[in-house]
Order: sequence, then structure tokens, then C-alpha cells
Amino acid sequence: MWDDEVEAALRRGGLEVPEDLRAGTAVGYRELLRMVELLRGPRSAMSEPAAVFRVPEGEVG
Amino acid sequence: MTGTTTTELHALSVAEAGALLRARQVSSVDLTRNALDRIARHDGDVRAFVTVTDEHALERAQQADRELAAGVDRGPLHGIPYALKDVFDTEGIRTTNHSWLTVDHVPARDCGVQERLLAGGGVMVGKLATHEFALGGPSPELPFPPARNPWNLDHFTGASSSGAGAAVAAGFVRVAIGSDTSGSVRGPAYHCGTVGLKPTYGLVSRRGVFPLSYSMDHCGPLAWTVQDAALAMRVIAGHDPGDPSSVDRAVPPFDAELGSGVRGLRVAYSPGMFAADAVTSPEVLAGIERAVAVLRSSGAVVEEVELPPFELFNACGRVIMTAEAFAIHERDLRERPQLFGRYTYHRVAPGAGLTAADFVQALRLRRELAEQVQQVLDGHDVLLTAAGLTTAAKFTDFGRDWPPPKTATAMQTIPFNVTGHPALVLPTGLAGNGLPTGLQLVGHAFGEAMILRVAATLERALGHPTVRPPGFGIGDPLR
Repeated sequence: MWDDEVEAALRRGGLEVPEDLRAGTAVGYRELLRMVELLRGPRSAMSEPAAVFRVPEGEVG
Repeated sequence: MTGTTTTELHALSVAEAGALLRARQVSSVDLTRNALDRIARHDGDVRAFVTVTDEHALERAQQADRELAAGVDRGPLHGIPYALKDVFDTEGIRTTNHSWLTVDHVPARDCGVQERLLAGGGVMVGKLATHEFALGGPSPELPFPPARNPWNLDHFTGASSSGAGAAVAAGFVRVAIGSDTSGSVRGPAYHCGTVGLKPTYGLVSRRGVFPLSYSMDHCGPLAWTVQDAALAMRVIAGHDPGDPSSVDRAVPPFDAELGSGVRGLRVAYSPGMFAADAVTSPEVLAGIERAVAVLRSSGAVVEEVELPPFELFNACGRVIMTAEAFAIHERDLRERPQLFGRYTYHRVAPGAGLTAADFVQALRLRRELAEQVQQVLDGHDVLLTAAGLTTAAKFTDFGRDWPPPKTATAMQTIPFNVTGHPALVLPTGLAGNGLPTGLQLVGHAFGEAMILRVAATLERALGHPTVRPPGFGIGDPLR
């Protein structure tokens, strides 16, 4: 459902969503938020991001 | 299995056609005319192609024949018709991305994959339907209709290399090249009953392929047989300095061990990732279990392993893909939103609401997941898992807005876009509704040859290449 929270979040990203595309965009945004919640597992500050990923020497096929 | 068993010209594999070409028992012009005739006859129903390059193809075929006659052999795809998903740039030939935004785009230069295919003597017969910008979905409001599944035209083809899956399954071409960001080579391969290989990230050039997500995009072949996929990889793999992610290393001999069997190999098997999911089709599961039995009876050691929950891979991959796709389409989303298909807009626009911290957290999770998959692969030669949980959805399962029900898009392919490991989809048979089922094999980085070796063993045992969708023989009426 399109509401002020969705509108504000997408507007922060510079997007004015046309009226006829709002309902589906809101569904997509809320689904993305659900996924974002899964990203923040327990990890230390030393846990670094993948720039892409590593191919360890000697572990290639 | 049901279907049509055929020995017609279009059913020759790349290797079989290549042998006949070199023995002068068939010409590239014969193969190309056959492909073009089949496209003309059947593609009005299948809609695999958005552009058919018949003049270009026949010129290339004549050149291929002249070269072979002169003793010039450019390799396994010399004289063989193929097609490209319409996100691959082709010099002087429109590359639409299946979008109104780029419907008139005519590239000035070939993409890296096309350069290799042309240098390898291949004969491009056309450009293939995709979902808009390799994302979207089977939207009705795009410049071209969506490709339809040759096994049942009321069903969709799986994911965005939609025309590629349809074209190979219908026997229009033996090899098509697609792109795969969350499963768009493997999804259509799975649902159309073909082989589909997403290579290791960096092995096949992405230069000149319209990006969906820079760090998740991969390019790879769809083919009717494992050997044909391996032969295509021999041509398209290799370093390209124009692709910043391209790896500068020797290209392995992908087809060298296809007949070596699996005796003594160690296969990790991860039923915990999919078997208990409520939407998993018992027939899909049975196909995978048949494959496990084949591997065990052929001398492989199959061990059950535990992978991280699929939902973590999916969340990580979707957030990264949406963020990168939003960055790519940001200007058009702001300035020309109505030119996007509804599904594409609904899937990319939410990226405006992601924060920088969300993106970094996804990248941190990505490293953890990649390491956990590598830990499972350590001590194993390949991983066997599901490719999808259901058979292909009907077009009527898709409503006006995204998303459709989970059963319509229940693929298990995104984990290996997140980690970059190579992954291959192989058919296991047909479900009771006549639609294909399949499995997924995952390997070590740059371990494509091992995946193909295991897949070849399974293919011989499961017998799929002899079965074609009904209604696509020359002279057979399409239902």
C-alpha cells in the first residue's frame, strides 16, 4: 500500500513515482525492506564487505 | 518421458553438425536455411526472436563454407547457427533490450562475446527476446511479446533469457547466449528443458552487454546438450581487457573430460535448502533424487551438506541487484518512467529507498555466504542442488503488477550469482503436466569442466537429449 513512509523513502532517492505505478512500487519496496532486515546478522566491525569476491589461490578448479 | 524423438537436421548437436560440415555432407548454408525455415514456420507462435538476421546469416554461412573448403577451420562453432539475447550489442544490428527506452538502439560495435563468436566462424541468425533490460518479466506492454515455452505455449519460459530458452528447446538453434544475474540463463534452461551454464564470474566477457547488476551479471550458453554447452564455452570464454571484471587466465578444456564418468568423485548434496519448502513439486524432487541415485550407482560419493538458508542468499542478492540496477536506470526512472514496463519499474524503483548502509551490509553478507559455500565445496568436486521448485508458470499467473505468486518464480539460482561460483542447470525429465524438471550443479571457481563432466554422466543416464517438445518437427503442425 502506498503511504507517506514509502513516498518519503523513495523521494530521498530522488524518485517521484507516477500515480499509476505506486501500488506495485510500494509492494516492491516493502519486500525489499523485509530483505534488508535479513542482512544485519551478528558480525564484528572487522567483517569486511565483498568488493566482488575472492578466488583463493590453489582452490580453483 | 513423452515428446517427439527426431533425427532431423535441426536435431543434430553442434558436434554432429560440425562433423558433417567437415565431411562436406552438409553445408553451413544448409544448417542456416534450416534454422531460418524453422524460425519462419514456428516463431510466430513461440516469439523467441525479436530480430531475425537472415541476410547476415546466409552471408556468414556462405563465408563459413568457403573457409572450410579452403581448409580454414575456426573451431567448434564454425558454420553453426546461433542466436544472442537482445541485450548483447551487435554492430549495425539493433539491440533493443526489449524496451521502449532503447528500441531503436543500433550499436556501433560488437560486444565481446559476439566478437569471439564471429571470430569462431559462428553464424548469428538473430536476436532473442528477453525480459526488459534482463529484469522485468513477461510484460504485455513492451515493444515485443514475451517468448513462450515450446513445451506448452500457455506457459512462460522462466527468466529473462526467455527467447534463448525457447529458441533452443524449439530447435531453432543449437546454442544461444544469455545473461544471468539471478538465474536468467538457468531459469529458461530449467523451464524449457535445455542445458544452461552460468560460468564463473569473470570467465566470459560482459563488455557490450547491457548491465543489470555489474557484480551479479554473468554471460553463458544455453544448449540442447552438455557437450554443446561445453563447445560454446570454448568459443566465448577468455580474457577481455574491456571488461573490468574479466579474469586473465588460461581457458580450461571444457569438453575434455565429458566421457570420464564420476567414479570416485565427491558430490555434496543440499536437500535442506529446498526439499522441505512448501512449494517444492514432488516431481522436481523425484528428478533430483533420480540423479543422486545415478551418481551413487556410477561410483560417486554423495554426501548431504548444509548450506546457509536460501532466504539469506536471496536477500543479499536482491538488495545488491536492486541497488546496482537503480544506479544504472536512475535517470530514466526519474525522467521517462512511463517508458518502462510496469514489472521493470516495480522491481527497480524501490532501489531509491535503499540506504548506503543497506548496500554495505549486503556486501558484508556476500563475503560470508561466498566463504560458506566455498567451505562446503572444499572436500567435494561439485554441489548438487535444486534449480527451481516448480514447473513453468502460466502467463495467466502474472497479474498487472509485480510480483506474481511465489510458485511462479520459485528459482534457486541466485545463491551462485551472489558467490560467483559456476552453476549449470540440467534437465531431469518431464513432469506429469508435460513440462520439464531439472537440477543444478555447482562447482569450484573455474571448475566448469568438472561440472560439465558430472552433467554429461547424468545426461547419458537420464536420456533427455532424445526428447523434443512435440509439434516442432519439419512438417509437424504446431498445436
